[in-house]
Amino acid sequence: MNREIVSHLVAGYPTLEGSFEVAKGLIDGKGYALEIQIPFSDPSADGPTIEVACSQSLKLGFKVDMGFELIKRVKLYSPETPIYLMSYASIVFTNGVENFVKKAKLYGVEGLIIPDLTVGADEGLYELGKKYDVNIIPVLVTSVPKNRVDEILRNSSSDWVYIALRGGITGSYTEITKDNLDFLDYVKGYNKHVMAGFGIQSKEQIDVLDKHVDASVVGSYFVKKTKELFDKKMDLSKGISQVISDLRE
Amino acid sequence: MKKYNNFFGRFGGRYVAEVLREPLRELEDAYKKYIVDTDFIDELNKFAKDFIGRPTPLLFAENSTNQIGGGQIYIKLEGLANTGAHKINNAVGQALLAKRMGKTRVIAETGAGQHGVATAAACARLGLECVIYMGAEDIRRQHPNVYWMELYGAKVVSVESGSKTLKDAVNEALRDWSGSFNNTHYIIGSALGPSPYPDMVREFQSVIGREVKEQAKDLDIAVMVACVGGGSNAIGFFEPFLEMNTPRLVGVEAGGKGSGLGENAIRMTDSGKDGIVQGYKSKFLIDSDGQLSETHSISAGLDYPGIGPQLANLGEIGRVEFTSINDNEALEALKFFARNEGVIFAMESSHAGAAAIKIAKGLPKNRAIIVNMSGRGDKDIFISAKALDEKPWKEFLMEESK
Repeated sequence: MNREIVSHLVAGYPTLEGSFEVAKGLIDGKGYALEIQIPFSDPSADGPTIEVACSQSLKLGFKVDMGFELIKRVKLYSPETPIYLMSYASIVFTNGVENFVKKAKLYGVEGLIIPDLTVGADEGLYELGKKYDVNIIPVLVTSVPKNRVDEILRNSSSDWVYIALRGGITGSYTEITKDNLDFLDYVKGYNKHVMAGFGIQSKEQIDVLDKHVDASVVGSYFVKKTKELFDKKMDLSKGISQVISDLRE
Repeated sequence: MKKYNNFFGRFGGRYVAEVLREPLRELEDAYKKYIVDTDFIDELNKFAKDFIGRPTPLLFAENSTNQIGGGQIYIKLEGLANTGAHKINNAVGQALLAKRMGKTRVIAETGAGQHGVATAAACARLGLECVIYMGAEDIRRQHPNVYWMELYGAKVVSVESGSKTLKDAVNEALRDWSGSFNNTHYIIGSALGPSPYPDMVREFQSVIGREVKEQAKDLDIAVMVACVGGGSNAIGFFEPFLEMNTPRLVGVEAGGKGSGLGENAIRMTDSGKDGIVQGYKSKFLIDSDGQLSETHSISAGLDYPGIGPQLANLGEIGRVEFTSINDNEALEALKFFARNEGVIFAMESSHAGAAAIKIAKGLPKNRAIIVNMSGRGDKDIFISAKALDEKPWKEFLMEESK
């Protein structure tokens, strides 16, 4: 049992400093890696928890450059923790795809997760990932036909694949079915590391996933806990560290 | 015009998460199959005639023409279509397509409410379950349409996220669809979004332009004018003329209440930037990071930061010219046509009406300018009455609420 967790946070939420505290907590609680989301004004793949966090961060004046500065600080705090940067096509495209990938490399980002830039409609993102040695992590979902899975994985030089365990949006609870697990095993057959998420918020779900993935992705659950701690004016890094430790027990 | 393009110059495409690729592929296959299928076209035409009330009239605005003293103004009365706007053409087309695809549930986004009303009506007629996403701010501005949608049996979901307007309703509908596509079709209301939507919506709306071409065959058309939010009425109105050099085609954007970012919805001049948002590449009002800007217009239907990819391309290559009309000019045009012609333009269409008045002045008397009245103004009573007749209107509302 590895019980590895890729934990998620929204840059600039609940505040810029607060998001650094959350990152520290997730690292201190032995999260395997951090997925740092650069907020976008219209995150159509995200559920209400993350959507509200993104819009709160933007209201406080968040800019993409602040996200990179946050990554720099987190890397200084824990150089060995892999950081995956998650955002949307609009952010990457407007900042210049090549410029964005180069910058990610420069700041020590292990991989980019951009769900709405997919193989064949990616504005050159996958090729630029190869050029600059940044993993462009495909986001698959269990309803994707096998021939498309093959096409994606053949085109991807990424060590990792992200699998969303259902359609719909982040946050609401996911029942993990046999079909989910079969799909995870199929992708693992490609000799890829698999991280899987969407609606993971309990130890039981992580137990079920554990044999079939390299890491479970927990997102909205941490964002929700962040809000609770912040509203109660509690220590964010201590509180979040405890939350992730409890999940990994 | 090819029926399927995917890209228009550098605009268009399909930038969606993997989860939506399959339903979009399925939709593309169905669209390509049925748009040339005789049975489907016959069924659509029968609906157009019996249910929508097509063809809609082309009215010579004689009093307005005489008063202005320039070119002859004609008004395509698309607002006389069932449910009061052009939106019904596309809603019926896509609802019929959904039926053929075996879908039992339909979802849609709506801004002004006209697309929601049209979709709800089409679903009622075809026995499809219907859910409409509408921004809370738009619900406040366009409350009468909420009643109509519910009367047709649709469920109206108030969207409280973001700016609580059309773009947020689109996000919410996309969220629904990515978890429900097995039994659900998403009827996008404008000629935008990931392919095949821009092509499909244009095709269903091109009935407007085809009728105009027939109705105006004896006229010397100098200019055609339509308002542009997402642009479905404009692209449908212009479609049969796109590959000719004439007439001039003019798209009118919302000038709102000023020139600052957030005060209008002008995408096709200096403020609009190339972007990829909500599944397609086009011109958007975005900041230097790619965040969508807030927009403003007195008309909910023009209050959107993006524009259909084909219109963005037509603007770039110069086939469609763009201009803008501010809130006050639109209100003045509303009054002008009501008093002179006995027709009440929707707030959106009033922008086209205002531009037509300006352009007509510079035209010779023997030439025609055709303006698309894409919708009727009944739905805007809470906006126009407040703006034009504030005191008595407020007194009436106070009395009514007792």
